[in-house]
This record gives sequence, structure tokens and C-alpha cells, in this order.
Amino acid sequence: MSVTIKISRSHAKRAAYTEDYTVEYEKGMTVLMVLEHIRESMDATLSFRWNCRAGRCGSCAMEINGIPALACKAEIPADAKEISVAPMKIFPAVRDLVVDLTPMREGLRKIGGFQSAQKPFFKMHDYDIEIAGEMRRCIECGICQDVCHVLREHKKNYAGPRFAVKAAANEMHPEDRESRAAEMEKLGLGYCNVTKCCQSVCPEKIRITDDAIIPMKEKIAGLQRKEFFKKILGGGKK
Amino acid sequence: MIMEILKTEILVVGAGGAGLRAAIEASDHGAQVAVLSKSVLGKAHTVMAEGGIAAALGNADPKDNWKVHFRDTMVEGQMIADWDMVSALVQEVPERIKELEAWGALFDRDENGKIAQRAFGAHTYKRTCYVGDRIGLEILHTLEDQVIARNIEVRDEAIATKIIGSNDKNNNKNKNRIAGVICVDLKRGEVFAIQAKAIILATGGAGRLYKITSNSWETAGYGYALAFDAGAQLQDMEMIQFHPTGMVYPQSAAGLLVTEAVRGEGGILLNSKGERFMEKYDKKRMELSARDIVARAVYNEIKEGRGTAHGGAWLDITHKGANYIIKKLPSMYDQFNTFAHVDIKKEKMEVAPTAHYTMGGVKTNINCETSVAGLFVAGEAATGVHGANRLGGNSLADILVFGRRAGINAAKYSSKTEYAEMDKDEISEELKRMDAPFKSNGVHPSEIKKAAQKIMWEHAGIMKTEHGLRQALEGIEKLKTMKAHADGSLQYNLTWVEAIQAAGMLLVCEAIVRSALERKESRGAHYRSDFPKQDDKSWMVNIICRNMKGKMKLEKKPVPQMPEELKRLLP
Repeated sequence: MSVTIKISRSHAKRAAYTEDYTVEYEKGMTVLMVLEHIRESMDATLSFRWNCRAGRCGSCAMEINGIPALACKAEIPADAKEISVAPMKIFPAVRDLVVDLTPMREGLRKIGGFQSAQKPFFKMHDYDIEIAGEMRRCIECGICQDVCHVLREHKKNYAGPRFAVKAAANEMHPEDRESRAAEMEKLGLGYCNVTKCCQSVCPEKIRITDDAIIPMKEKIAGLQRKEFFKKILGGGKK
Repeated sequence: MIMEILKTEILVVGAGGAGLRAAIEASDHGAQVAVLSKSVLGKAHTVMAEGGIAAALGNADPKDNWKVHFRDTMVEGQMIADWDMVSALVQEVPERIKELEAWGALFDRDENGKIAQRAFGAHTYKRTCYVGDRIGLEILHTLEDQVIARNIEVRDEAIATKIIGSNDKNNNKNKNRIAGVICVDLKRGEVFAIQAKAIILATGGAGRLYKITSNSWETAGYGYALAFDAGAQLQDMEMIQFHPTGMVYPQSAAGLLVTEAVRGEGGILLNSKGERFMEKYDKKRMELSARDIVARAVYNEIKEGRGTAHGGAWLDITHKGANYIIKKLPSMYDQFNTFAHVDIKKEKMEVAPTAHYTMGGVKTNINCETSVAGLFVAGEAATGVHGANRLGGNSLADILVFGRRAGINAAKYSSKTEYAEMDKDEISEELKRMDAPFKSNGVHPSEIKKAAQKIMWEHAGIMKTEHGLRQALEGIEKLKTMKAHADGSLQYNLTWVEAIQAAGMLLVCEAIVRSALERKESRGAHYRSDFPKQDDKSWMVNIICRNMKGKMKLEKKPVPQMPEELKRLLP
């Protein structure tokens, strides 16, 4: 039994093209294993990114049959005849399946690191940190950014789901004393129309829309309401 | 020669926990810092740490304190660890945990709202702080946030290929010091140089030298080769830790870590006959015995025909119930579910030993200094705190404590040091070496890598013998004569990277094999079936590999003598 892997390749000097590799099927084989097999014994120039091969580091995200996923966790079904593999489209292409993930890091600059005003050790309970902990599970793979149609089709001033997750991680930290609604508004969360694509593909199963974006949209709405009344009631000032 | 040359006071090579902690500290001490990372920032091997970080906070057990932690670490390191470094480790780690909490890390809590602590093998008390079974991710991303907040320059997916010495070797002051590095930027496909006053190597371990390993792609020991080549000493290289529980199948998951927390939370080991075999090997501590003992026990059960169908032992946690397992071991549940289609809530796991940690490494002192001026080393790349066997949770303690120390000391050093000019001959020789794979008609470098991994697994693994080690050495020498070939551009060319790192990888294999040949006894993780006993009369020594004009020379050095007040802490 064999399976054909159709890989979308690109070099700096050449437009993207598809190259087919046919390999023998083996039970339990993953897309990443096949890519490494191709590089080692069929085409030494094939380029892709991986590191932990356990779904922990988030290095090997790519579009597998059109859907972004981690190659290390993508098992090839026994009845598959063909699998298409392509780089994530939302990030700048580097070579073959490798894209430039620098925007993932640059986006974090807008949010910044958490620094508590209080001195640890803190007293908090597991139930206090459930949601912040969920957000902190993010492995920064970029899959949610890649699947987001707002980013793909509109490129509005929206930072994207990953950064909503990051902002929510800070916002929902029990020791967070800042008011972050204005900061989150700047991330363009208003553009998200809650189709939940991001949370359906998240390899860490973070409920991005339900637990990060929607609660934050509510906070932004609260801020806007406050500002509205402040403006019309004035409190004596213009 | 047209090549970009960057300049930074301190260059941190490696962006795992040790590297990032070092960068934060050096930056806070006012130094100009840049970080070079082989993988994407935030994806270093540290994210693979699962079970927790050891610190004697005394939350779970008020009797715990640094003195007990010191004793456990020294005793299980079979007394060849550096007492000075161990005492810094155990005394400073609580402060490092506190700092992580201030930076936003969220540890699991106990019923009083304090940081929860779980049991780990050979720790007297419950002292491992954790976040389910994903402590590494929490630590690394917390540090990543701080690096970004400080605007520290990070060049990721860039690999240092050689440390360059000073151009002015006639001057005694410059003879034995670093001046910079040569690097490859994978994304851009460019070779460039970085001139630095100080280098902090935080390049991690060498698990990838073994066929079956829990380690990431990047963890192939290249940092040891960089340091050795620059004139630093390697120590205790025979001390490779095999974690008792790695996944066995499918092939894509072979070697993946099954955290010690499974046993810490009550998991038991069974052979194919259903016997709880640890009774035979360590009746008192059972599954929570030291890692070397459990690893050899599992290995032995399999070897003697009491293994499972896939060649492993059973690890069973089902008695703890579904909710408990999902809460405490979410990644293990996901890992077995995804890769092996095994539901650990209801089914037993199949496990076998996997190459996990390099206790040996670049010899440093408590200030992370090496014998080469300007070269500092921290974390798994260094040696000293784990002796012959590392306790679970101590490596994360190590990267934070010594990452910080490296940052402080490199900053101090660079504030009173000038830049040295990089040796032009060394640079051009390195560039020629980097070009060679495109010119030679050699083999695919994966062939060399795989052959070496097989040799190391078979002959320099859990059980070693003189005969096997000699065979290994012969095999490694033969591989050294093979030329590696690569095609294509420099851009993200994994095969080329493998080719230019092959020699370094073989050098580290050689250091491990030669050191293992030298130590004619069994101690901790180093087990010689031809010398199965520990011999404290002759072998209370550290084995050091020195670079004598390119040749590896070994010597034995008695372990440092401990002061009386610390001796009193020992049993």
C-alpha cells in the first residue's frame, strides 16, 4: 500500500510548484515522519521545520489537506491515497513548507510581559487560574492565525486570535490589576465575527472564541458604554 | 570577503530556559545582549519538560528545606557532583520560582492556595512544583515574555557553527579568549559573524546522539563540540541519563517522554506477567527510586523476556480515575491518545528507557566560567550539579539558577573587557569547511547521523562493556572519515546543516565513549556490566576531556572536597 504526498514547494527564485512523492504506508505514520523520510532518502533539499515531534513546541504547523495542523500529530489514515501538504498562507513564505514566524513574536511586543505589582508568593486556587491557565497552554504554532478569515481575507486592523489569547492570559491572571479593555480594543477584537474557526483547529483545544474573545469583547463593550455616558453626562467637564 | 559582522557585548547561544534566563539577567545588569536560537524563539527543548521543577519550598512537607534537597542531590549524584554548585542550586531555586510567579507563571495550587508540590523519584519530600504535566512550556514562555518586554535582540533559526578566537594570540592576554562566532541564519540563508566580549553557551544536551531519545531535533550536543573546539574542557561525559519511561510505539513516538509525574502521582510498573517488578530492585522506594535504578530495572525485565509485545514494560495509572488523570496528566492523556490510540484512563501504557539527559558537559565553576576567557556556560550544556545521576525536577532548577548566574557574571566580565578582533584565519577556515559539503561527493549526512545513533544506543547506552565501547570507538572513527554531501541553497537547508554539524556530533560521541571506557566501575547512570560495582576507593573522580591541539586527552580528577558543615548534611 502506498500513499502520495503532494508537497507545495517554493524557493526564493521560483514560484510555488507541487511535487509528488510516493511512499509506502506504515501503520501509525505521521506527516512529519514522511517528510523526514523524503528528506533522508528521496530529496535532500526538502525544507520544513520541526523540533519536538510531540505536539509541544508548535514548530511544524502546515496546511494538511487544506487545513492547518501540526505535522507531528497528523497521522496518515490507512485508506489515504493522497495527502496534500502546503505552508501556512498567512505568514511570509521562506522555503517549501517553512514560513516566517517572526510576526508571532512581533505581535507579542504590543501586549508585553506580565509583571505583578504585588510580591509573591501568591495565594490563589486552582479555580482562580483555570481560564488564565487555559490561555497559557498556547504553543504559539500560528494555526489559529492561519485559519482566521478576517486575517486571510480582510487584513483589517485585527491582531488575530493568538494575540487575543495572550491578552486574555494577562487579563485573567488573578494578580492582574490593570484595566486592559482599551489595550484589547486596539488589538481590533471588534473585527472578529465569532465564527469559531480558530478554536476548532487549535491543537491545544483552547476555547479561543468562547473563553478569550467573547469575554474580552464584553469588556470592550463595557468600556465603550462607560465612555459614552461619561461623554454625554460630562460630569461637569467637556 | 563580504560577510555581515554584528557586534554585541554578550552573545547568548541557545534560547532554552538557561539562555533566556541568562539574557534577562545580563540585560538587567546593563549589558547589551543578543540571543541566537537554533529553533524559533519559544520552541526550545525546554518546552518538553513535563513533571515539574524541584525546590524545597516546604509547602507540601514543612520538614523540607535546602539541606535535605542538598543531601538528596549529592547522594543520588553518587557524590561526584560539585558540592559548591549543588549548594547554590538548592539554596537559590526557591527565589527563582518566586520570580517566575512575579512574571506571571501560574503553578498548580494546593488546598491552601500555595504552590502545590508532588513526589518525584529519590526526593525525600514532595518538592516538585508543577503545571499539570507541562512545566517546561510555562517556564519557557514566561521567560520569553520577559525577553520581549526588555527588547532583547533575538536572532532565531540561526545556528552558531564555530567559536572564533582572538586575532592577537601573541599577546598573552588574548591567547585563550573568545572573540566571536560564525553563524548561519537559516531563514535568510546567510552566513554571518558576531563579535562579542562574552559568550554564554546554553545549548542544551546531546540526547539526539542516541537512536531512541526524548529529546528535540535541536538537542544533538553541538554546543559541547563548540566549547571543546574553543579549548574548554568537557567533564563526566560518560554520564548519560536514560529516563525509565519513554513511549515504545508507534515509530513516530518512540522515545517520547512519559513523565515521572505518572509515577509521582501513583503510577505502577508491571512486567508482562503482571508482577510489580520494582519490588526486586528497590523494595523501599519502588517506582519512585532513582532514575538510573528504575531504568535498569525496566531494561532488565525486557531483556529477560518479561517485556510487552512492543518491547516495553507496563505503566499503569488507571486506578487513579479519569478526572484525576485528566487534571494532573493532560499531556500524557493527549500524547497516548494521539500517537498510540491508547486511553490511559482505562488502559496501561507501554514504556521503555529513552536517552534523556546529559549530566556531563562543559566544565565550569559556580560562576559559570570556563577555562576559556569570555566563555560562560549554563544549563544542560554545563556540568557539575547532577553528578552521576540527575534527580527529576533538578534540571529546571539548574537552568534558572545557573542561567541567572551566567548572566550576572558575563555582564560583570564584559563591563571591564574590550572586544577582541576575530582571528581571520579561523574565519576563513570555517567558511571553507561550511562550503565543503557542496563540493564533495559524499554520502547523505543522515546516513552518518543514523549510524552514529545506532552505535551509541547499542554500545554506549544503558549497559556498557569494554568490548562494546571499543567497537563503538572504532565505528565512530570510521564515520569520521566519511564525507557528507549537500545540494541546493543555504536557505533552510536542513541537510546541509546536518552535514556541517556531523563532525561536531561525532566528536561528542567520542567524548562519551572514551569517558565511559575510562571509568572502570559502575556509578549512577554509568553502568559497566564488566565492572558492575561502584568503587569509591578508586573512582571518586571526575573524568575530564581536554583538547590537546585537536586530540582528545582524558584525565581523572579527584572530586572537590566538601567543607565540614556541608558534610554534616550527608547521611
